[in-house]
Amino acid sequence: MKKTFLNGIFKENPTFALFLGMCPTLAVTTAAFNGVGMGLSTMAVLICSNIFISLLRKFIPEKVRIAAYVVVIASFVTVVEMALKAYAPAVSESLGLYIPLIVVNCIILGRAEAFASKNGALASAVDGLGMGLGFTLALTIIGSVREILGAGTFFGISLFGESFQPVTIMILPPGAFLTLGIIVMVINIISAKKKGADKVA
Amino acid sequence: MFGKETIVVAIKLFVITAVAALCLAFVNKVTAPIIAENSENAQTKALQSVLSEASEFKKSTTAFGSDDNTVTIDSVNIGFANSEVVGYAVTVTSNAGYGGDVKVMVGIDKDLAVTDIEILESSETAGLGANASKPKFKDQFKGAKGVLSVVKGIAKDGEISAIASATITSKAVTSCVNAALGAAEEVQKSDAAENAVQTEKKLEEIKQETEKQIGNVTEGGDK
Repeated sequence: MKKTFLNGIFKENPTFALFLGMCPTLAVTTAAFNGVGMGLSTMAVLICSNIFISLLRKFIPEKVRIAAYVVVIASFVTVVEMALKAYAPAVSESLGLYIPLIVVNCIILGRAEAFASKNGALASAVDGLGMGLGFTLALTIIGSVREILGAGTFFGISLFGESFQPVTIMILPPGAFLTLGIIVMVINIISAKKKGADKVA
Repeated sequence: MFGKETIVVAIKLFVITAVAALCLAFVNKVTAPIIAENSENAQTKALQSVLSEASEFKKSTTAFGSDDNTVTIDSVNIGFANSEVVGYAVTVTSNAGYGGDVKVMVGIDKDLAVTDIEILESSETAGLGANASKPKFKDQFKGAKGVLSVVKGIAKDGEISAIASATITSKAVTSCVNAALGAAEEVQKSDAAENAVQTEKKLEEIKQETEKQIGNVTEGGDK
């Protein structure tokens, strides 16, 4: 169970290791707050859809499973969208179009196919939690880096005072690619070193 | 014609979609009124943020054209406090932004000076054009009157200093403000004209009434 949970955060981190759901990752991470909002919304959908698909895995016919998964996922996304609009309009406004796009986020369909359809409800929920947290963590890291460099703020709090000249490119689309590339590079260097150390030992 | 399996698959898929539709209908029923209320609150909040003097708003029915074909006037709300007109909140959209439409709400007091502006919707570049909503640019409009023009560098009276490397956005916002000022003037004029017409009508009525009474009196005198 613990392995399933940690799997999503580190070894199979959806963003930094599996490279799934790149569209929202690159598009909404202009600020740390957006990263958290998108990550948590995706996590909510992922956990719910994982649980339901796992419960329904014997009911859903093999031939139309993708259609059934999409119906389940789309329903949860619509629920999340309506709930955000009603109870957290600020989040809904800043994420805008990307909430409905969770439907086509490959992480969710990917986990339904790869995990939830083969495992029990509890394990699927834990998998959804791990993957969701991994995604949230990744989006928050990218969002923080871009916000700090590109706007001089962190969660909206000014860090450097008036004289700071923000690196505007970091909150523009190219900044997303730059940030993602550099973070993945750092992670790869660390994991390569670790592997090397394991071999020596 | 169909195998038994096909029918079972179809029924199962139907059951899944039907249950999903039912759940969605329920959630929609719960959240729809709250969502409607939120959007109304947001509207009132925006109106009040540009025209803080007013406590009540009424939509003006006057229709507007504009000389500038890049801007359209979406609505004019007349602000009241103690049933006196204190100003106008004009919503204007310009299609000449760098990233498409820019929707601006402009608060104007009864002396036709800008009280404040608010960028409602825009797709301007983050960190450049999007800075139009920051006080440094926005506050230049406070107290402005007449027709404004955009300059690069330091602005004099009647001029707006453009945001560095976002002149297009600056110009779009300024043309919205100009159009709003024009619209407010028109509303004020038509209101004044309407008031004048009503006053005249009232006078006429009083006159007729008086004449009637005088007539009655003289007629009565004859008898």
